[in-house]
Amino acid sequence: MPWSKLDSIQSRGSQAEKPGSLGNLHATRELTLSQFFTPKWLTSFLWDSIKPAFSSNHYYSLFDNSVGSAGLFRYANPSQFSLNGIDTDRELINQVTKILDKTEFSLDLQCAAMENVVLGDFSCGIINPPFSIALSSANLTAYPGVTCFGRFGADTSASSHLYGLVQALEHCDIVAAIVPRSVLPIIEGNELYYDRLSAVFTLPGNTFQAENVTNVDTVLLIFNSISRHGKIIFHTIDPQSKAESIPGLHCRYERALGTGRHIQVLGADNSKSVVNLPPTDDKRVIMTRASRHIKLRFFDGVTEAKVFNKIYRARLFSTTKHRYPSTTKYSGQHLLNLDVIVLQDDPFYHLENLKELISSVGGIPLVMPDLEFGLRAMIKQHKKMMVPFGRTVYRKGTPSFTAKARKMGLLNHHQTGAAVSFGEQVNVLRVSQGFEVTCKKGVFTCDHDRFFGIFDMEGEAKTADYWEEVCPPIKSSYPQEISAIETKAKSLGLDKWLTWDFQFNDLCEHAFRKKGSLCAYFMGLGKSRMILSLSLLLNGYSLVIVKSRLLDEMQREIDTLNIPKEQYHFIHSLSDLDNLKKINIISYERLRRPIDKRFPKFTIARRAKNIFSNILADEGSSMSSLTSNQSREIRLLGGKRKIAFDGSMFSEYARQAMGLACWVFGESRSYQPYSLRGEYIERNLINGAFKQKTGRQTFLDHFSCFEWVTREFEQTEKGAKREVPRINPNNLDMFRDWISPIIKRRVQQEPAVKKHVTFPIPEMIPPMLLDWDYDHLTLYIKAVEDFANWYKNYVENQNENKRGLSLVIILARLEACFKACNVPSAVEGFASPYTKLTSKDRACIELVKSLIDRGRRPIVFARSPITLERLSIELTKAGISNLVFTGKETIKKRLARLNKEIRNGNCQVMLASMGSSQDGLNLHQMDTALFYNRSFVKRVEEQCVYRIVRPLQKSKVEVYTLILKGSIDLYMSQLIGWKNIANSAGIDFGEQPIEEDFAHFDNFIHQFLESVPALKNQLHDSKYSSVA
Amino acid sequence: MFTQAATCFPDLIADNNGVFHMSVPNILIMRECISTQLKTIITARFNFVIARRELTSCGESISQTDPSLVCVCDTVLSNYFKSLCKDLTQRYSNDTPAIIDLDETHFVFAGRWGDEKYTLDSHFSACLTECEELPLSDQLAYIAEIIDKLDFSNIYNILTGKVKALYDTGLAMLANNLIKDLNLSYNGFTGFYSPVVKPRFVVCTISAVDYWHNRDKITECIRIGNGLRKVRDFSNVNIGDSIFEFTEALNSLTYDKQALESRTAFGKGSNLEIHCFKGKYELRFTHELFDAIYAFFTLYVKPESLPVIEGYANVNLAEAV
Repeated sequence: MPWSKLDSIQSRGSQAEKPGSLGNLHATRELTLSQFFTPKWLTSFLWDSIKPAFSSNHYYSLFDNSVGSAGLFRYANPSQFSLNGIDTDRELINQVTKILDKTEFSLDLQCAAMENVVLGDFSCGIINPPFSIALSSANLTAYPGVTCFGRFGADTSASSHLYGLVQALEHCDIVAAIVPRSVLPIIEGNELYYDRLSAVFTLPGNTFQAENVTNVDTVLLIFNSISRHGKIIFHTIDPQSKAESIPGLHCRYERALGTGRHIQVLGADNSKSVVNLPPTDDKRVIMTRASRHIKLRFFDGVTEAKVFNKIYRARLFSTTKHRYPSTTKYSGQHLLNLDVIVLQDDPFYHLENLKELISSVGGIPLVMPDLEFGLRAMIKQHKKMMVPFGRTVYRKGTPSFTAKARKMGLLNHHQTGAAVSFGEQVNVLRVSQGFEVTCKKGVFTCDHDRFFGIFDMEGEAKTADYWEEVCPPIKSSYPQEISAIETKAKSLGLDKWLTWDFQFNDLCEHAFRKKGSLCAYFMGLGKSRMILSLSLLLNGYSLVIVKSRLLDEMQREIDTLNIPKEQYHFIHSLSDLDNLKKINIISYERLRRPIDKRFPKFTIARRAKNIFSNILADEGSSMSSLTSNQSREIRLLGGKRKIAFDGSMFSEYARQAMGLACWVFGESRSYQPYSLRGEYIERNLINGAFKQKTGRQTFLDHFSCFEWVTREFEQTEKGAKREVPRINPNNLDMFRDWISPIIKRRVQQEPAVKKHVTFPIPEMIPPMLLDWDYDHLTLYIKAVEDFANWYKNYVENQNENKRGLSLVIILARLEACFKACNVPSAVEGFASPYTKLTSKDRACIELVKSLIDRGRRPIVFARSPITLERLSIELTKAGISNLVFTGKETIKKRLARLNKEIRNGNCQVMLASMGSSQDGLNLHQMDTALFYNRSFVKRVEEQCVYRIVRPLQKSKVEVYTLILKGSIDLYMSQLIGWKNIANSAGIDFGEQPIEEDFAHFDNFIHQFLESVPALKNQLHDSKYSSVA
Repeated sequence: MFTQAATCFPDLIADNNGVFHMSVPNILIMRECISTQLKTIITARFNFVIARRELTSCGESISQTDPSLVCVCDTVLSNYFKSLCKDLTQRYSNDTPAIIDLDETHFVFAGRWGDEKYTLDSHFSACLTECEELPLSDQLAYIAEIIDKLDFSNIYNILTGKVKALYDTGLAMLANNLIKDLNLSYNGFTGFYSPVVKPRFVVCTISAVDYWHNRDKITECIRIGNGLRKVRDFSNVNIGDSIFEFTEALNSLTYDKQALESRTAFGKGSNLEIHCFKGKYELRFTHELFDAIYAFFTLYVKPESLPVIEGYANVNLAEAV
């Protein structure tokens, strides 16, 4: 019999050292899994108690949800019982299965946790579950009074002994359970279970002494399948006790159980076989290419199983501690991944290795030509995709200069002695990784941010600057390919459109990229022309997606370039898709609009799936959002090549770059290893996928920065960390290396652009801080206090219900404060509207007048059309001609008026809402931007300013901002100040300030609420000064 | 101004307050001072001997023996140079623990326990002993000879050299003390007190103490505080008040409260957090502060004594060890 062999297996609990303290208890439990085997005498007593329930003529099923060494089954015989059980200890289960396989028992022992199984029914459950292990799983079955709220939601947490007992009670007719005495009150509280309870045997405290447990208060509970007859038997037993019969014990035999015994481990489907080929003598293994993987074709089932076992090696499962990408199942599966093979130094060597691996298990590998050629093509593609776009960046200082250390600091972490003392003067040389610093201790490298954190430049370097070519044009690496593209472009006459040489060169570089790219042309550099040129140059149909308000601008551009009508058309309806031209233009709004209201999901985008070879998205930064309807619809379009155009490609957080990069370059590729839903590809995967991370997680780990919002949150440790708009400084170079093949950037001031056109640098006049009018301030304070009270209650309420704060709701409520500050005439609800002109209105009007007197033509930007209309009335009264440009009119109407009065007319002032005048409009006729209020989004303000910074702008551009002292505008200024940083650091090689605190939105709210006392002081002062 | 002065008068050194001084008094001044003091003490000794003898002759027994001429000369010289060294240390150490001292062999006549090797000139000291019975004027005449025995030029050069190197020596001492006190000198040998690099902090562990054994720990903490102050001065990284509060807390341990409660924290949120546990105290430095500390080590500690911390720098531990 196998029991003697099984008896020799020791439990983990018996081998572990005592925890010694409560602090070590958890660690000990994790180690031992609370695994303590039941002593033989107890098992014997238990069996004697329940034996009368089994008839010798029938076959029964036994179940144990922590089977261990199967000791509780020792008195079963194979002719009468099947053994079913689960245990989390894989090694133990394998050992026990190996031993019991040699017997005649019908076995179903699986390695699984009780919280992750779906069970059938069993005749009898004999259990000694682990005590006091906290189970946490989304797969827990809800048992009232036993399961409770956990990490995964309601009923996802339970105590192991309770859950084990109740699980057995739910799935077994008779249950004999060894559990802690503390379980009794819970059983008593449940009528159903209590009715079934037939006997309670108190066990001696030293029952598990052999398992190194000296004293534990446990009981043996016997439950019947039906309500008990008579009273519950209570006895205290010891090893000498004799079992007494329990009246009425009854259980169903296996056939009567109906669907019967089964144990299904959640997450694994064991019902289907994986290898279906019959065994043959043909050991060939055909190795072909299937997209970006190696596909193996077999003719013999045995060879298939052996080869896959050899290649895959081990199954990988996600745990609470590590989550694998959904496509990663096996540790060795990346041996068949061509992207991983391409990343190796010698990809063909690894292909040979794979062949040897297959040969070592008896297979005969045959590499098909498509695999070989495919691998070569992928290697070539990888090299082409990895070559960065030509790039020139702005550098402060001179290529070499002297600097003085304003503080003592480490220059880097990887060279011994790399430190400078306070006040030390050093010689510096610019290098690709940053700077090479020659100091007293030697010559060391120092990265950009660290350098400027320690040193001050001296001499002319302080004020000097220069432009450095950090990446040469692609033509220097691939001259023939670029020349071929140039020839084609010239034959199409595109050199006549793109008359600035950098535009033509960039056109060829974009066309060189087979997959797609990002065109981050700053405003005014010819994005529209580039879009149209690329549409003509690239093979196949091109779909150009623009914002609806810019359709007319696109038409103007087409007219300027004299593109024949047969080469383009605008898509207005579904039928236009049947008559495609080379350039097909559609708006974002139309693309995502349902074709028929009855079928909201059926959009033009879905209909147009895979029709177009090239997708060119103007203002493509919207693709950085992964969840918006717009980006979802555009992703549906498919397309071989995708190019996004935007001056501010990702203006806030580093992670916004990932969505764009995945869209244009693909995901989980050798040349773009990150992904939104898949895996992260790296060369080490060739050795195994152990601990492989998802693409998204790796991107966040590499590049995102999470910090305590401010020191105060750090101290209280409430509020948690927030993402800050900074790229992880340790990996800034890595980010730049990653993005440089993806994004082509041009800025207005770089030499290649300046050669052809000079853009004025807008002069940002310091914000004008204005005093409040008394009544206006009173209204504003009311609004802020109202918000503060609401916010306090909201936060408390959300914390009580363990929910997060909704930014949408907060912003909606904050709108009242914004209105009170900037549009007090529209206030409603908590106070009466303030209808007089505010001090800001008056200051704005005065400023406009003074600008006009100076001969300038200002645009006043404001968020609310109401404000603009009020200003319009006052300006008209003052005899100043003005045009109100807001979304209240249709696009066509307002553009017509714009052309008539501003572009071709002499209207002195334009009053434009920020929303309708962000992007695409060329307004070089105006020369001053006046922001009546700020925006939460830095991009919006930037876009507004650059409407007037155009190639045809002849005047100096000035930018004014009006801020009421202590108002919401002031805090908004701080908030958006930071958001420029990530963009400029990542793609413009700018600096990231290390030491400043990030004014996150949380901080903004906090400071904003704290401003109330200061405002009240202002009110008080204002009152008394007016009285005086 | 400093640069100018340094060029014209190479021995000029600015003290802690930036005031220029001749760093070490020149030879003439030294001779003059010593001469004056010798005159005073020899006269006083002579008068003492006369007075003692008169009292003895009157029947008053005086237990004290006459101080020898050699001893009083040594006393004057010793006091003078020690005082000079102390003054120079105070002026130029700049809050570092380095001190200036001068080997006694440069100015002591009478050796300890009569051992010749400690004396400047044992023959001369024997002569001086013989002079003790001479009249005062004759004794005073020996002052010039006494002074001539001293190699002032050498003493001056030694002291000047030490003054110039004092600050750097002091900084090196501070740095080495920090390495020792923060248990950073294990260099690759992992143990309970090994530093640990975490995403937010570098954690240095020191042993915990109770009321009965806190004196040494307080001294250690004061040393750490002194070192960190210098780091702060050079690097502009705020160290907060945690080390000082912690020292104060250790100092206020009493019989009734013999140890700091486990989980007590000082300086939470600052660049240095100190967390107390039963068996240890953890000093958690932010990376910004630890970088500054490590730069301090790099600049003022010998390369072979630089601590190697796993996970902090890309250094091959095996090679380093």
